Order: sequence, then C-alpha cells, then structure tokens
Amino acid sequence: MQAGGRAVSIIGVIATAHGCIDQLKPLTPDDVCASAGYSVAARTMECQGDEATAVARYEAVQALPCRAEWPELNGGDEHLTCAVSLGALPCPTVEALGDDIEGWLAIEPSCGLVFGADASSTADTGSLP
Amino acid sequence: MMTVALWAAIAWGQDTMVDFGCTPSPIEGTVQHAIVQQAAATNAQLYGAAGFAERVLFPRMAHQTAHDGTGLVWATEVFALAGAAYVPSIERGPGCDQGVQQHRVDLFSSATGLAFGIGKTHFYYAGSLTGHMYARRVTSGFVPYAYGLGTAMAGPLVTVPVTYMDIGDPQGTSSLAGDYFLGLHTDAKWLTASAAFVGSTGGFAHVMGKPVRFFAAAAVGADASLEYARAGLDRQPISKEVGASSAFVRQLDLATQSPGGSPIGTTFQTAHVEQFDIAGMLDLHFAYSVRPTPQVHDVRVGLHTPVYGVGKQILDQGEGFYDFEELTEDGGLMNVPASLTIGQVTLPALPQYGTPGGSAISIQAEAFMVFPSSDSGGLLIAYTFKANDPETLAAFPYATDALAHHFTIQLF
Repeated sequence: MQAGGRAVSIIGVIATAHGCIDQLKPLTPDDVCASAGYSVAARTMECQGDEATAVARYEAVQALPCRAEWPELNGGDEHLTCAVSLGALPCPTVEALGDDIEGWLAIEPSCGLVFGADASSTADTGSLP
Repeated sequence: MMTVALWAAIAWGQDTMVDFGCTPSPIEGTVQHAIVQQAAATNAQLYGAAGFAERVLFPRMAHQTAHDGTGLVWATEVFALAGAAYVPSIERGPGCDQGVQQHRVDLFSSATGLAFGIGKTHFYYAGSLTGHMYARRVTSGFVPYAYGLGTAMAGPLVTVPVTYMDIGDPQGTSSLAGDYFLGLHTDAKWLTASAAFVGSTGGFAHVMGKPVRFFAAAAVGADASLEYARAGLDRQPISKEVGASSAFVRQLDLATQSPGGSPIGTTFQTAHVEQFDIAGMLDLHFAYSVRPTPQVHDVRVGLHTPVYGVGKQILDQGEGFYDFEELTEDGGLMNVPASLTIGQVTLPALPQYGTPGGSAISIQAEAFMVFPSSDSGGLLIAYTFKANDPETLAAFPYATDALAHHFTIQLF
C-alpha cells in the first residue's frame, strides 16, 4: 500500500514536471518571418522534391530584413497570411517562380506586411545565384 | 509534497499557461500546423507497439529463454514529449483574451506487452495508445498516465478497436491512435528471430545474432516502403575495463506533410559508435550524419554509478542479479543505479519541418531499480528524463528543447 502510494506520488511529480514548460509563447515578428521561409521550403519540396533547393530558398527568405510588427501584444495573425498563402501556391507557379524569392513574395500581397512592400527592390540576397 | 510541487509549478508558469476557458484554434496552412499531424503518426510508429516490443519485450524474452525457457513477461511504459512543437494558434472562448499565441503541442505514448514462453519460442502481444494534444492547463501531464493505465488494465480490449477508429477533434488539437503487435519470437542456436503482424502497418521482422551481437531490424510499411532500418553491433562486451561496444548504421524515413496535406519526406542516415561502461562508470556516444547533411550529429559523455552498469547488464543480457542485489543492499548514493549524460546534438536545417537546424545541449538523466525475485527474473521500475536527446530529435527534428519523460514497470 505504501509502495503504491509512493508510486502515485512519483507519477504525480513527473506529470507536474511535464507541465512545467511554457504552454504558450508569444508570436514574435521573427516567428512570422521564419514561417514564411518554412512555407517556401515545404512548397519547394512538395512540388520539386529537391531538398537542397528547399533549404537554399528558405535561407534566401531568412536573409531578407524582417519588417513585421504589430502594436499590441498577441497580434500578428494577419501577418501569418503570408506563410499560409505561400504554402498554398500551385505547383506550376512554384516551378515558374523557381529561385526568384522576390517573385514569391511579390505574388502574395500579404507578404508586404512581413517583409515590407519594397522587399523585392531592396533585397540583394532575395534571389538565389 | 506532491500538492506543493503542483501548485509551485502552476504559480511558476502562470504567465505562460493557457487560461481556463481558452480553447486553441490552430491557424491552418502553416508548416508548424502540418508537422503536428504527421508527428502523431511518427510517434505511433516509433513509440507505439512495434517500438515497445523491440525495445522491451525482445530482450526480456531472450533472457528468459536463456535461463529456463518458460514463463511470463509483462511490461508497461509511458512516454511523453512535452513541447514537441509550438503551433500558431488563436485562443478562443468566453472571457478568453489571450489572442494569438504559439501553442505547445505534446506527444504521448502508452504501451503494454505480454509474452508467454514455451521452450525456445515465445508468443507475444504488445498494444499501444499514442497521440498528440495541444497543452491544456494543469491536466496535460496526467493524460499519458491515464492512457497508460488503460493499456495496462484493459490490454487488447482497448488497443485493438482503437487501431481501427479515427479519434480526434475536427480542428486537430488532439488525436488518439491504437496499435497492436501479435508475434512469434524464437531463439535458435546462432540467432534470435521475431516476426509479427502489426495492426497499423503490416509486417515486422527482427533478427539478432549470437554470441556476437550483430543485429538487423527493419520496419516495412503496408506499401512495401522501408520506414526504418538499422544494422550493426549492439553492446558487445569487450572486457571489464573497456566495457561494451556498439556500432551501427541507421536509416530513418523522416515523413512529414506539406501545409497542403501532401506527404513529403527526408531520409536521415547516421552512423553511430558507442562505448559503454568504461571503468564501470563512463559512457561515450558519437554519431555522424551522412544524409541529408554530412556533419557530426551527436557527441555525448555519460557518467553513472558502478551499480548502474550492473543493472544495465541485467536488462541487456539477463545476467548479474546477484551482483546487483549485493551492491544495492548497502544503500548510499553510489549504490543507486543512476546516470547523467550531457553533450551536444546537431541537426541539419530542415525548414520543411519547421526547424532551422543547429546545435543544442543534450541532457539525459536516468534512474531505476531492480527487485530480483530469482536468479533470472524480477521487477524493474525506471524513469528517464531527456532534453534534446539525439534519438528523439532524429524522429522529431522540430522538438528542440522539448522535455521527454519515460516511465516503465516491467515484470520478468
């Protein structure tokens, strides 16, 4: 009985420890910009099946200045529209855009909120060599 | 004591916990949302019935055969990975004002197995309940143990039907999958072999050589795809001073899905060299990843009490019960079987999995106790805590800084 009680206590402490890491983290501008890059990589993998290209395009997006900002805590959901839209681009569009990262961001207006309306004209690194 | 710990934890995490009345509404179409759907399937594959049978049941059956060939093995385990992913989500509900957040997602697995041996052959069953859950206030940590109780008490009455059911909420904030494993394990002169029917995927085969511990294991999907394969040498004893050596290569198909729902995958190939129990106290781990990016993957050093090594010998080889009992009899910290492993794990950039890659500090702490009941059997209770464990990150590369808990009770 005592051993059983001890086992229940041990499980209780373990289960409590399990709950001790953040259940929620604030969505930051950097998270939104990274999400856009993840979408470009995932879409590249899905449409073109080339992992190295997917990683290179992600890195090209990450090299752009992140200009997402929102005035209050807990905002930013509309900024995620960029990542969601990029992740839904049709494969013919993905293949046509290729390594033209400025083109990817320009085709989706919501990305202006994230990388700035002038992302395509200011980013030297926005296109893969 | 437990209550104090619970309330301390709640107070500590007040600002980062889900408010009562808030329900997550994940933003669909992001990579983070997509990977969670696949994470639940990967979790089921690795920590479900098949993984459990290979990790736990096979060694126990082999040891039993080596001693008297008849008897029963019963084992149960709970695995939980808290913070496997964070998914952008809108918290909704009456009075809920937490707005847009990144919501923690946990994976869990509860498995129970039973094996009955006659001569050199064992018939075995393993069943599991696995799933994922967006973190809920207070209750999250207890859910895996509740399912663990279910698999332990009801066995196949729960796991078999759940295998063929689709349980989860429509928004994808929780899921529950069952799996079961029915197989035959035989111990021949030069090898042990096991073949089984797996409820979720189809077939499974495992072969290990004796006395040199070469092994080869593979899981084959219903579509004949190779989901993972491992081959090499497993904890081959060298000498008392040098300990035991492992060297193996592994290929793991890291499956995920795109935000659009189509499957995409990456092959993760690694080569491992490990030396255990050097001078009875030191373990070394090294792994190099060949694909997708050639780089050092894992460098870790482990320190453990001498009795930990003897306990591992019981679990790995089914020998050492008397030595163990003698060593643990005296009490004292050095006579508790415990280990601490620290090092660095490096992952390639895998943006399609929502992770930029990079290095992280890996920590693993393990403690267990064996209560021998004969010269070849007993009761084992073990607990392992891991953060950035290479094995876990190989399966869930986005789970950086997630906390893994593993609790097992085995009767053999």
